[in-house]
Amino acid sequence: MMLHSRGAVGKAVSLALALVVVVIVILPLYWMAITAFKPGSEIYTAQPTLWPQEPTLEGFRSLFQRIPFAEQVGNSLVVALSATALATVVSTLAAYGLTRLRFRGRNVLAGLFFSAYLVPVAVLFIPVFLMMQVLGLLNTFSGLVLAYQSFTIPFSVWMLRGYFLGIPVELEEAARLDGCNRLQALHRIVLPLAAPGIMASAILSFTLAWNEFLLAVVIMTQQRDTTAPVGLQSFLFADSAHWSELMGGAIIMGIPVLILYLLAQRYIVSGLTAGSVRG
Amino acid sequence: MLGWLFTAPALVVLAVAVGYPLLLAIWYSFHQKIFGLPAEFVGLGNFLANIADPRFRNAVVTTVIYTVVAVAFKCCIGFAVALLLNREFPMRGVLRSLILLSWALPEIAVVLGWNWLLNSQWGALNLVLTRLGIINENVYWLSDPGLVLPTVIAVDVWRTFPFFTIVILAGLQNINKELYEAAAVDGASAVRRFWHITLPQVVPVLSVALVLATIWNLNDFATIWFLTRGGPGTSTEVLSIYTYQVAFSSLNDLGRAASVSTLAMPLLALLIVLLVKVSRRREAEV
Amino acid sequence: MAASELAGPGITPGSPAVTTNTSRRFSRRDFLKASSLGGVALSLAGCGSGSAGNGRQLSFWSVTPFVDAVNDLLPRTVSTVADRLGIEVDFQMIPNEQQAARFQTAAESGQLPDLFMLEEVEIPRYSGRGLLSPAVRDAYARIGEEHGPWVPSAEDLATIGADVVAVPFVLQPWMAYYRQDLFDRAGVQVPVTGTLDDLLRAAQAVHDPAGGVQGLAVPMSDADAPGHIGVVNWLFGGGWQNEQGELTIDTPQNLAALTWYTDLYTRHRVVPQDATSYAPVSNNTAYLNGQAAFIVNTGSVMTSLRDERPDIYETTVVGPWPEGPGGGPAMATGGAAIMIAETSENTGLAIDFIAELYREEHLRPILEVWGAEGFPVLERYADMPLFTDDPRLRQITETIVPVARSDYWPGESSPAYSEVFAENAGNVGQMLTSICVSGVPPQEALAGLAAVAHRASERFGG
Repeated sequence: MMLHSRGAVGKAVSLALALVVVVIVILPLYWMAITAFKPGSEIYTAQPTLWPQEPTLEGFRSLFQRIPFAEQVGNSLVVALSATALATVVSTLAAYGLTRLRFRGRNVLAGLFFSAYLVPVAVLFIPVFLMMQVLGLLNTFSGLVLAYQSFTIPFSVWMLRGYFLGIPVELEEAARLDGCNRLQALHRIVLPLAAPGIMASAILSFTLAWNEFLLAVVIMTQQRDTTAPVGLQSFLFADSAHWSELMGGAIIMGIPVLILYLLAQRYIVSGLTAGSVRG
Repeated sequence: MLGWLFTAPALVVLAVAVGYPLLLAIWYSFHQKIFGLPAEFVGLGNFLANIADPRFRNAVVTTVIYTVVAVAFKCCIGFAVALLLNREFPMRGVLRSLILLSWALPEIAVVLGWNWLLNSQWGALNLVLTRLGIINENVYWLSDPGLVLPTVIAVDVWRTFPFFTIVILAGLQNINKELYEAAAVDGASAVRRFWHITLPQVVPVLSVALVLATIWNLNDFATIWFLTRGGPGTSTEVLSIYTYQVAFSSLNDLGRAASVSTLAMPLLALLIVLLVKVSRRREAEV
Repeated sequence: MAASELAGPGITPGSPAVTTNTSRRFSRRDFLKASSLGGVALSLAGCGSGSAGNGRQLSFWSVTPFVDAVNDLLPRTVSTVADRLGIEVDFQMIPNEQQAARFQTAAESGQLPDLFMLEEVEIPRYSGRGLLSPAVRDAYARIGEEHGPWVPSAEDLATIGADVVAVPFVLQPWMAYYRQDLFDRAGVQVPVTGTLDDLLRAAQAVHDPAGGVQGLAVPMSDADAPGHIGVVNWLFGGGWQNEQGELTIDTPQNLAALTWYTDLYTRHRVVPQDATSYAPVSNNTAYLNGQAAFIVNTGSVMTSLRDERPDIYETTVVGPWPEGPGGGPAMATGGAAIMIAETSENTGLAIDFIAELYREEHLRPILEVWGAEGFPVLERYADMPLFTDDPRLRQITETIVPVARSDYWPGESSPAYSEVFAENAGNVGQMLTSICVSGVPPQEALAGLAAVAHRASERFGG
């Protein structure tokens, strides 16, 4: 559309506008980040500094000392990775079945998968808690991983289904003629082609699980076994003098996700759009 | 048969993680279940109590406002930024990655940060606005009942508009350039080209993104919880927070809390139908 | 991950006594559970189950104390006590705002820890539901014999009717903090010995939000109600219950008190605008940052001032709420107590643990760091130099203690009272915010609270 604005002026205006948007996005994040390195005297001041005058790691030290944050981040990693692994494996299979195999009730089933995504966590967290109690999974990572499937599977199935629809069936049919069975065809032909989509759905599942708060509060009953978001919460309403700890924790929580996004941004965009375009 | 086999693992896990708890929630919504006491059948009592409860009605209204306004804003802003990023200019790739940042970072980390920026006394926003002479006394972003909902919505929009930007940008890049060239030959104005070429081509992607964003906002707990916990009073109490409060605070009644969710199911069913329709249409076109 | 990291906050690294929960090991039972759910990934995440009833192990939960030094010392003390007894204690400090979700879900599932410490207003909720073990009586009696006598108000805190249901651990009187320098600067007398009218006039004189000073930083939310509206009721001749322990909510006296209190916000505007979203520590923070001329809190603020803001500490005067038209001066006092869960299979060990914890060598250092927030429950500590030598603490013992009453005054603790007034029940907060945020008339808001109280009385008696 605006592709014709090749003039230098047009480019400069676009660049300027884009820079404004970037500043709006980045400036708050920058402020949050530097707070983590400021001593209390620079946090509670009417003369804020754009750069910590006396940078300190006191906030981080206190964060790790006051709550078992290192362990909580570790728990978050284990839970989010396990939840992602489980969701990705079963969702890949399901998405393959829903796109490549014709069977009765296929469309209803596809709708059913996605409708599970519409059930709010607020509906589920109490019954999930009661169920975990019955299954003896309260305060276990297994329990939390299972609970997280309520949103990771529907989301992954939805995304992967869109992606699989975009992969030509002919390649696979050729392989089938060469004597591959369904699983072999999936393994040799579809998976390599769908790798970017699978990667994208895995990253987004990881992000969803990494951020989850409500289910972790009720399922993980031990401070040491809980996840980073729940741990961080104890600084929010405890005493507002703890902003550098909170922001330090926020930075630490942001790092894994940031790395994933920077490394795999291309896949995320293609996966999301495939999901949206063909959803 | 094979189809069912492939979908079975996902179905089984979902049945445990969603199906069973959902049935349990429905069962509970017909009972009073106060913590530490045995469950007591109350028929439709919980539903009637909800409908009669002004706090419940307030939560419904707040949820709808929060969802509709936030989604509308992030859609428009996301669209505008996508159009901008679709133009050619230096450093476009880097800037695009940077704009994605607010959406890529963990929700809780970012929302906690906003809680700090919006602090009435020491938060950066008030300090900056005071310095610039825009305000002369501190604004209570998170405790002024008239400001708090717009503030919470603004934070949500800031955080999630890049989702629309990515999706729409990809849609824009899929548009066949020849369409524009033909339009240019016909002498169509930029506005006409937008209405007659860009929009129709993007609508399919956009509609799915809209449904998805609507679901995210309807279900959102963390953004509001970490900014205001639903306060002051019930100014930002959406259904998810109301449910939590009924279960663990004001009434301690799991049954009543479950009934809130059960009441919301027709609304969700409507969304499901909408989504299925949208995706059917897409499939027909593929 | 190193063992010391697993041990949690403030626990001496490498201490053998406080376990890291047996969790990370992967038991066969877990494997069966996980695999029966069909998840490949589930088994990766296997995590051990609880520790009930194996004889040498106890679980103990406490809500995280507000004083940092106590936060550090308490886990170490628990660890030392466990060492002495040669047992393992899994000690957890639960953040205040997660208390309801954690404790209630644990109670629902029969997974309360062997021992737990909560604020006194929570106690009847647990006893009323049969969640407390009567075995606690033995611990109470044993400590009374070995270290007694108990301070009388500590006895009140531990009993419901004639039953001992908990072992008192600490008394936490509320106190009003006045910034002498700010009142001086505004040219008014510190209203510590005056009346409520004097307090209001003084507040109007110092209140200057643009200059960074709030007159009365009192919450109009869920937070700290017993020290605020609870006491103001008494000053107007009212109270949430009568001597017979019947809830008396909708009375003219209480209405007058509520109207006076919320007028501070809605009419006189001497309260911070964000008081409607105050958390329990928001007023602490305001005072510690030098922004409030008057707050009411427990002694945690005093301890924090002493350690962090000696300048404000020097210029702070403490006292009770001033006299009102119907009584006073007065102040409320709360506290915390240890309970044993009905579901505990280790009651004998739990009693031994409590008895050891109350030995002077463990308790005295805790009281010392707790300072003004932790008043002793046993008479023998009353003459600690801390309480007699420090001028601020002496002010407390001289001016506040004589007029301090339990939250329940003139009645006693009861399950119905707790149902309505437990901090996380949110009822008082809802009443206050409905007036201050939504403009509901106090009369109507009070009637709403009365309806809640009526339902609670019907269900839980009292």
